Amino acid sequence: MRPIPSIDRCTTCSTCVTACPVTRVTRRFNGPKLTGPSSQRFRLLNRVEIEALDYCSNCKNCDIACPGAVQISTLNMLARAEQCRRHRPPFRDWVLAHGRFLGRLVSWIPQALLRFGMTNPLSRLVLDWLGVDRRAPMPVFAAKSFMRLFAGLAQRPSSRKVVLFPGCYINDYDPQTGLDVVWLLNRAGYEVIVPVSECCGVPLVANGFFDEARKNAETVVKALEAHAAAGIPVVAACTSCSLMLRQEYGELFAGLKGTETLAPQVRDAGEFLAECLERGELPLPEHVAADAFIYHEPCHLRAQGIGRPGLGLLRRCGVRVSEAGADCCGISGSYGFKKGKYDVGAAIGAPLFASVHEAVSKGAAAAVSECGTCRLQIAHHTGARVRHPLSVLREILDR
Amino acid sequence: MKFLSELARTGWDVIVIGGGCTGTGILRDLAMRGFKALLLEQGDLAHGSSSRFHGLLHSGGRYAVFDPAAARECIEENMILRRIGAHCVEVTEGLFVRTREDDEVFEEKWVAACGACGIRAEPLTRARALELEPNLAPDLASAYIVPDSAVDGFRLVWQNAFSARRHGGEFRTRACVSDIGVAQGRVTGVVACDTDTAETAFIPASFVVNATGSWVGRIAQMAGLSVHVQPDRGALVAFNHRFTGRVVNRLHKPGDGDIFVPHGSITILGTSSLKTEDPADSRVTTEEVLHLLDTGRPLFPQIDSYRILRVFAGTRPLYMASDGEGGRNASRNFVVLDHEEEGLSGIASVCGGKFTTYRLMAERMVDLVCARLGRKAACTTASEPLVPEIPEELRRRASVFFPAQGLETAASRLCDGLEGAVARMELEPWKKSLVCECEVVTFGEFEQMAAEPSSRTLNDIRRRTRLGMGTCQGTFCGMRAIGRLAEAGMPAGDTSMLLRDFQEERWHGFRPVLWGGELRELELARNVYGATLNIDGADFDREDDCA
Amino acid sequence: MIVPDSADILVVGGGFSGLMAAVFAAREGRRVRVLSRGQGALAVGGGTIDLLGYVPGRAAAVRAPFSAMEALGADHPYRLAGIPMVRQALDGFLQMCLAAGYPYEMEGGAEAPRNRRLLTSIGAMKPSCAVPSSMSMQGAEAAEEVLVVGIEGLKDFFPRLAVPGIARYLKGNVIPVLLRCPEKLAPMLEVGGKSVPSRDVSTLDVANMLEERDGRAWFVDRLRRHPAFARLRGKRGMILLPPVLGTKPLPDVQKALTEALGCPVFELVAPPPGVTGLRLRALLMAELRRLGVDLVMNAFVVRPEYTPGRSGAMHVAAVQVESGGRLRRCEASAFIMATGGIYGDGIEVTPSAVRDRVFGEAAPVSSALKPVDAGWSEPAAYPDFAAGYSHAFARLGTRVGADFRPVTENGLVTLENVFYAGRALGGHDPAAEKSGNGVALVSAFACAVHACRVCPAGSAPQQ
Repeated sequence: MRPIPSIDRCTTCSTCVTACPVTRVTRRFNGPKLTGPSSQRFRLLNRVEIEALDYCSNCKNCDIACPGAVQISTLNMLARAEQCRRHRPPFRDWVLAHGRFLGRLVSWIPQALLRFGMTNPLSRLVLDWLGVDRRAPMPVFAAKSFMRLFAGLAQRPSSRKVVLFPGCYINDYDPQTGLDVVWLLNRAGYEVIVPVSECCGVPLVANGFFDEARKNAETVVKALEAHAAAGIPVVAACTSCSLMLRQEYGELFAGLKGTETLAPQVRDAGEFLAECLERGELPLPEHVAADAFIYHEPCHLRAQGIGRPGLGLLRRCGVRVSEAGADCCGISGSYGFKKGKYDVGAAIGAPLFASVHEAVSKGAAAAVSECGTCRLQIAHHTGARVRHPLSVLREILDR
Repeated sequence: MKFLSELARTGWDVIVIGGGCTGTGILRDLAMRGFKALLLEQGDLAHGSSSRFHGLLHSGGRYAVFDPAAARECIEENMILRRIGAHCVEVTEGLFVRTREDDEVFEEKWVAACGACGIRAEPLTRARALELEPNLAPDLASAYIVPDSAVDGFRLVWQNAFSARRHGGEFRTRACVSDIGVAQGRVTGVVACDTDTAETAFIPASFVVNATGSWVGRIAQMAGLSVHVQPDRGALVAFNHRFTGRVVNRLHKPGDGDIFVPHGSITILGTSSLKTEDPADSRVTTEEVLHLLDTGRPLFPQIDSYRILRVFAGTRPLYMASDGEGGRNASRNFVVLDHEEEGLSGIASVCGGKFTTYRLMAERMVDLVCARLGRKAACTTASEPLVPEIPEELRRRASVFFPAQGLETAASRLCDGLEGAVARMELEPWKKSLVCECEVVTFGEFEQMAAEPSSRTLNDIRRRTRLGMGTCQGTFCGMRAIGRLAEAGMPAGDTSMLLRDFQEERWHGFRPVLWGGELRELELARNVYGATLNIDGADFDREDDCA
Repeated sequence: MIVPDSADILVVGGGFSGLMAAVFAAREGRRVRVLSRGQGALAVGGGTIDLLGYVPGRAAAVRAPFSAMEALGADHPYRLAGIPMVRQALDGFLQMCLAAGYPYEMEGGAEAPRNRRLLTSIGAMKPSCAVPSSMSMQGAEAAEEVLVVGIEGLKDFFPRLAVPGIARYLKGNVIPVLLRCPEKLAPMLEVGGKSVPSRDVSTLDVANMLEERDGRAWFVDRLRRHPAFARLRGKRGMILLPPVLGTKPLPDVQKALTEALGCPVFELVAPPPGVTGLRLRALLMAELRRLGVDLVMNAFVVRPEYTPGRSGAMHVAAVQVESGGRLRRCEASAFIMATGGIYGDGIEVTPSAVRDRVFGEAAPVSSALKPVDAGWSEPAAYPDFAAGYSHAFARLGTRVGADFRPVTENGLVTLENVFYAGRALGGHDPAAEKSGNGVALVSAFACAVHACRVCPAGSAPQQ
């Protein structure tokens, strides 16, 4: 029996069910309470697993809402791992889980063909056969990865160092955001080190490739441990990455050496820059003439319990940012790409998309959010421009 | 349920008094050997010790050193029950674990004794033991695997009863025996009284079997006999989740709180041993609970963080031949007393013993009945499964509504009622909805069990389905169950009383353990029933205009 | 709120009392931050302001809460706050809801409120004070024909369970109606050619359905066609539903159905999921955003950092918070502890100890008894409150003085800038009194007032 989070704190109050975005939009899913702690009591009997377990998107809204701090989504992910050990997940899930692999393969393809790559009808047919929804917002691979671009940067050396963990989304699809964060960190007087460009492992976990996710985590922790031990902060600009590194590694992979050293050093990029501000390292203007924006809080940021530092930084400069106040955008990483889940994702995000439409019609220049796939989902469903709040901040400071 | 007067007119070979594992085991054996037999039980089936023990089917390891005869019986019967009781026995295997506090010398004696009794006790390394059961104390001294199993007492009893019925036997609950008819040195029958309606009838029979466990002495007295059975109370603690996949016994001289048994979705820790005069003694004090936790903690150091779901107690019937030693050191062997030897024919009592050996006890008793009634018939209870195989077609129909694990669980609970439950769901698919979410009980099952004649109260249905026996202890399912009964036409006054009674009955089980997670659960329940629904103010519909 | 680790007032706990305290304090211009682990009991409870339904020792339900308050013990939060504060708290709450477009109704107004009878899904009556208009039961006394409507498959609401009790309180004919399940909530789904069971239907599912126009159209059509509906023709009718009139804090769904059915439609009180509580939470979240309060979810306060205070009391400079895999410091001038008592893990109970989890002995819990003591609980689960009985564990909580700061038995303040609100407070039993949200609201207001006094007026909140 592997150690699992305790289910004793569940009082069956059903608060998690009321907070679950998937439950709100589909009756195929039994809801977090039944799927998580209730089923867990029977899993311990080694019974057969629930079919609709893969409807859990690991958004963590259940954990956040639970008055008893039951780690419901962790229970679901561990159950999913067991399920996938017994029944191999489809190839599609493998592809979506191994974005890095795809990324590396694609990095050899010349740019001209690349643009041709993911969105042409033939590719779409292949993706459809794989099980990716035809309408899914496949991101476009960047011409040059973040790692390549970063390698070409000249930074002013500094005794104050910070590690940046870019994560696959930024590395493969959105390197500019990574560069914006590097610029801000430089501005705060830090020299940025990027020791590793591995995936943090969250799509591996979500798709059930648990043992692989663990090995992946070992690689990441090993690469970062020495820096963390030396007191160097490890910063991530993608909220799923920061959540994985600081919390999920410890919850999912019991006994993984080095996580206790790494976790306390991990920061969300906005969180770190807010600390820089507090230390006087990053002076900000008080009132800037800027566009208005609408902010969407990623679920995985809310799960970190650190508030919304990115939003706070923008407001501190006097930028007008309204909040969408929505629970989840619906894409949940690789979840919303899949056939059978795309519609679930679209339904979940509908209130958010409506808020964005409204804000844009009232003059907002763009939506802002710290999570790469959230940005993709919002842009796909609203047509609005969507940026990382730190990219907006860079723009303000770089005038 | 049949009227007692109707039963009185039937003409029975044998009346079995007592509806626990022994009584229903005897009923089954009688029916299989062709006797016309009726069982009378004062409460619900398994009312006594059969629902109030830790659910352990002993490998015999516990008795190997001090009671080898009992140990041998246990291991043989254990193997038989695994075969015939696929739907109530869980083959969990067991561990005997010696902690640092326990005597090394005893371990050697124990290993030898197990060998002598034919109980396989395979040694494990500490690492392996912890791999199997990670919650065990990391500094355990030694461990062995033995063939313990876990059994659901309710299910076994009901499955025996239904098996008996299939062979022509009959059982009647809520029938209390108040007197035994005697004429010219022979027992003629029993006076039975319905505990709800007070209907009374004399039911004649050629033979009466007294299989009433802790009540054996009291029943015997009605016939003017003296049988000394000392009820001995044992308290048990049920934890909310299953933190061990195997039975875990402490490897020491048998004492309190030294057995942990996985039981479906929960874990049970037991037990204690206190003399009592009342066979129905089911008290548990907080002090006893803390004592049990103290004795269990060396095996599972995290025990204080495990939420206690409820506590319960029952009496074990210890037979005292004549001023013999009581308590743990009394023989756990059983005896079949043929009272003809005392001058009264037509009656026999079965005393002592344990759950694990019920089938053997029944066999011996029915052998005696055969001899006294002049019938030659061999016992076949060890070869026929308690529950017949679920037909493929029914399995297919049921799997539409139940996921794989739910089907096995439902089949075990419902016995012959599975078909009826499935039919209800096919007719009205909304009945696949769960009335009890904690223990996964559908409305279809609930209604099927509610429709059984023996189901007079919500608690009867609870015992058949496990409704209300999970994490929320009836907080949510109680309302749904009563609501459904109301919708089906149960009279109004009854429903509000039923709901309140159900909550009060559940209360008794967790009142002694109101701390930690259980107290949190109770806060929720009180806020739903008290604050939101005002169940306790229901009578207070007068309003005071001044205040 | 950019400087991440400091605020004027830090509220610990994001349930009803915590969020209300944040609202009240933010309205006074303070920078307020709320740290919460979980949503508290808002998704469980009924979203009604039960002020005071029963007093210990009296069988009759309370009609005029203010007069009844005089019969409460001196350590009851209402007595500590005083009637003027109770009045202000109620007033503030009602104004907030009105401004948000989701008015609550209270008979007699904040000046001299009177309880109203709410009817519950088990047919019991419950006294409550301020309720959303969807639960006001306006005109119930005069209704001649009352339909209690459920939906097949909605397993937490059975009309025939509610009807007998409701009929005791209403003069008109009370008729149960069960509608067949709509396609949208069907028990079985077609998935890949197979028929599989769908998720069970809850009041939240029905509420979501009625938010949509076609959901309402189905409902109106079905109900109109039901034979019982004909009884309403030409009579003063009323339709009672479980709490399913939408999920948003707006009276729109109630209005739409009332119009379409031509007859008043109201909601009964029912067990969780607390749809009406969720509406209240949504209203509060919008209000917090409007006031610029920083609500941080998934943050767990573990221990305080003290500096010496005046006259023997400790001063709390900051609290340490477990979030994001590490401990952070949050400074504030004042702290409002709205931790939810036992349920919210503000108070820890082991067999032989009862203590405040964060402050330990510095925030004494008024409980002479422990679980090992006789008297910790009563023999009956729901003891005779009319005779004055209630469980010891139900009445325990942090002992506070008139300004809601924790005090010793002798009345000495132990923590000079910490204030307690809600279920964490001792001296009351909300389940027996029917006073849960009332105490939460009043104590939240009182804490905000007193906390603002020790905390200098900060800059205006962001946006």
